[in-house]
Amino acid sequence: MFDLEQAIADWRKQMLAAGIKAPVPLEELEIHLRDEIELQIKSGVEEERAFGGAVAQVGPADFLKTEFERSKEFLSWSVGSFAAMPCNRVIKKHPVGFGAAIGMLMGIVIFAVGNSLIPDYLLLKAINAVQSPLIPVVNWIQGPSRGWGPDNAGICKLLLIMMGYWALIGLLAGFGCRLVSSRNPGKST
Amino acid sequence: MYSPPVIRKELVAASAEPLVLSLLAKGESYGYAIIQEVKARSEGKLNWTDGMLYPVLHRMEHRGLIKSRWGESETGRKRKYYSLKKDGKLAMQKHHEHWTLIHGVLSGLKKEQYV
Repeated sequence: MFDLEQAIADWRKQMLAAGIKAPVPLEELEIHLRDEIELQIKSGVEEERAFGGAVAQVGPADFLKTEFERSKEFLSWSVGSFAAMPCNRVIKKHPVGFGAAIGMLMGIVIFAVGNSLIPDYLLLKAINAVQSPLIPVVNWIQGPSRGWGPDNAGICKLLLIMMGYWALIGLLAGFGCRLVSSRNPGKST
Repeated sequence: MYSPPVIRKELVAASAEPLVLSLLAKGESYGYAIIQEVKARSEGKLNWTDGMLYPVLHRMEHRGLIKSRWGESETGRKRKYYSLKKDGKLAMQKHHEHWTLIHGVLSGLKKEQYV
């Protein structure tokens, strides 16, 4: 006597043995198999034949394994797989914010490296060079009487300026990514 | 004389993504329903091996074209429903442009009796 549940359990074992993983995608395939069996039975096919027909329709285990492996290969070399990682999901979803955050981080790193390696007199020059386009802003914030030097306040300002500069570059890069992705939706390379 | 099969497997594979995107543009659906609709609309000529749909769906999901959620059918059976994302809509438009272009070229050539 044909036992449908036992037959489905055996089919599952074959799929697992062939390398189809559970619960995903095996569970989805089993639901599909059950839908097909149900449809065939409703149309008057006896249970055993319905099962056989549904198994053939879903495809043999080796074929499915190859198809899923092809899919994985595609994902492994494409940026699409990178997008599967949480970090890159953020990049895909919020490229502008991500760019700005990375930019600020770069600003901190560059500042930290520069501050530890560059002698004070060169740092002073760097501060002056970086702040020069911002003199009107600085004057507006703290008044023209106070100059900037490599003291703590000056260093903090340099850090903020570096973060701001790089955040701006990050923002622009983020906008660029957004523009490119909107022109090439779903393109994986 | 050369007699091609119903539809070559390369063409079936190439058409899978635009067809799935276009079907999902009508609303969320699940694997079995997608297969059935493709079969019905092609009058059985576009006959996918059902299992090939799922790697395609998973790949499209990883690429951010579609999204999925687990739900239940009216009979209580668990189902994975897929729906289109914004990038999927844009990708579908691109596919439509490309397939229309190919169709236009073929039609033009046929009219000129080159085919």
